[in-house]
Amino acid sequence: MTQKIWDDHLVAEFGDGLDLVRMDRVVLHDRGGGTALHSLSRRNRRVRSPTRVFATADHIVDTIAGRTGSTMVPAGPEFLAALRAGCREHDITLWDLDDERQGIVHVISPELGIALPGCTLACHDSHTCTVGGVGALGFGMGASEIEHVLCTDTLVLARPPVMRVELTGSLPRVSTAKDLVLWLIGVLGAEGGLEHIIEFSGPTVQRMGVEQRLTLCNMAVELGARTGLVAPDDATFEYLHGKPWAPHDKMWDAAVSYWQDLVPDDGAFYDRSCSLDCGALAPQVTWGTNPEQVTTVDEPIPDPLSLSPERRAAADRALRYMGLVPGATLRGTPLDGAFLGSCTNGRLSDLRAAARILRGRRVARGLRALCVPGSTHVRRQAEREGLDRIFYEAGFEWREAGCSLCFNAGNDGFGPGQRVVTSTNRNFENRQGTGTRSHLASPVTVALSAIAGQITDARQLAGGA
Amino acid sequence: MIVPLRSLAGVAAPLLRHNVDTDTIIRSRDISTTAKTGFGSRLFACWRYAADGSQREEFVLNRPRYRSAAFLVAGSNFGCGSSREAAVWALRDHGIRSVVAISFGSIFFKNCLLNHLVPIALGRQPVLEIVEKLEQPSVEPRLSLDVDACVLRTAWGRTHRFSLPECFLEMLRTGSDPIDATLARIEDIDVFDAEDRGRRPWMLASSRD
Repeated sequence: MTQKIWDDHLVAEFGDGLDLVRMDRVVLHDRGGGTALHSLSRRNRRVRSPTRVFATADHIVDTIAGRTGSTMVPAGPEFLAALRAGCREHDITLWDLDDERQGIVHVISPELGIALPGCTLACHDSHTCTVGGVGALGFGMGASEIEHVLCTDTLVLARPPVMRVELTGSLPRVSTAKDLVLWLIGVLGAEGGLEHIIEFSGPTVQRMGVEQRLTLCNMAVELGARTGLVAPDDATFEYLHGKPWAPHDKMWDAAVSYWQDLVPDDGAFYDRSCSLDCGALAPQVTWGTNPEQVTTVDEPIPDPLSLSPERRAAADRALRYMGLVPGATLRGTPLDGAFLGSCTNGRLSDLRAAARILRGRRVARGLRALCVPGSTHVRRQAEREGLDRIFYEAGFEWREAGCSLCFNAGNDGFGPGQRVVTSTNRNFENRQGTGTRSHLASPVTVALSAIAGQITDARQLAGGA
Repeated sequence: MIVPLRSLAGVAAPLLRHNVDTDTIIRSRDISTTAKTGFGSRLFACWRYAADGSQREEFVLNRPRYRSAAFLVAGSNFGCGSSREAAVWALRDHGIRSVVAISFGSIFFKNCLLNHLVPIALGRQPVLEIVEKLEQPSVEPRLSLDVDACVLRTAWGRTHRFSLPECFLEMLRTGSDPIDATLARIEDIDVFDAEDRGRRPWMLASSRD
């Protein structure tokens, strides 16, 4: 499948094992989008195809209710101004803070039909791999490389090796795509897919909804992968049909017939392959400062002495930072905060799953809980369904769309030593706040843990609790 | 802005940690300008500075022996995580011109090349050996790099070969701009566009309607 998409985007061979590869779509955000556009202008370069480029503000915007067109993030106004000026100058569509289409780049790309099966999409953000959930090949990169794409509609790339991850078994009811991908990162390691394009396949993936597939692909970068991909199928087509930027009418029919060919060929060659059964997958929570440091909530945190020398040093450090001891279980660990949102788990199905648990209940006393929808569209739809009331009555702050506390941009963070259960993708040291201790988990685990005020085993739900 | 780099000699600082992410290299809240420079003092801020802003003497880049480092020698998956190019700008602004590591995060690796900071993936054994030497007080902690020959030499007489695609070596040696190199192939791109309009017309038709 990767092969076919690659071949259909191969402009020319560039020599020395490198290919010139067409990028169909470019998505820009406020952290670096303005830098790239300004850098092009300064060198008198133009954007080759402005109609293929879309921009929004998500990284350094305020998410508190009643936000204005500016931001309280230090230096944030300079970044917003640069993005606005660059989009104006280069005639690029910008969905600004007052636009109904605003949101986290990786949430709105599929939601608006910008990311389509078999298309290539470039964005100066590492989680661009998310769009693999609709069968698009997403490439994350830095600001300078996005200048190359803006100016030429292409990237110079070595064809990455392809790794097939086949997933079998039915996920237990309380386990989600988030638990699955955290577990995969634990099994394969943070370098488990280094440089590869990962094709996720198998019955487990086929049974997943599109939003769950987006969650799965979102964290491919946490395996070190260049990107992740799921073959498009009827669920994908149903999800995309009628999206504003997806093809319509006759073009839709032509597109679907092309997309239907984007399936893994029988006997296709893979550089690497693995098959994993996830029929008994328990909810996963991270204990360390890299997503690979993850375990089941009722299993002991590993003893660093049982790990390889390199992992041992990292685990020692991580446990000190996290204030945890080997041998203990995460279940019952007291929490100061809970965060629900991000490009990993800020979509409508994530909010619904959390709201089902929170309905009629309240978060533990003293715990700070936030829900930040991944896009303005998600927020509006959640409000139509009354989810905002459920979150509000449960003691969650109900926020405007953006990346928010997935990372601390300077205005709003959790405090030193505070322990947070979070539906985001990175538990790196100091990411959510200086000294903040982040535990990655699914929206279900986040909601249950917020109520209990401690890390909670979501399997208690299955037990009828 | 682009400075050719054919060779480099200087102090090398060992930082043998696994999975050093770009959030750690520079925090989001320290990316305080839309320019591509001005990040040097924020490099590894959480590791370099105590809460009161004073320098932590034990951190490798604060130790007199490594303070003027031009090379950083790192563990595996160095620069994983966020694509923020400011991680490379912070290293470069601090004076680091080459990172030698067991392996790299792939976006970080490319960001290095585009900013003429040489990423050298050497694999486990050579890196462990270099780090061990760099930490010995009796050894001069210096490396030298020859981009033309793709060779890294140590002050203690070892030679390590590395490889990079020729077009990137050329970029380092001459300071040439990769956008110009691609624009020289613009006819190929035009031809591709024309064919693609026939193959996948919906990619155009859906735009701005």
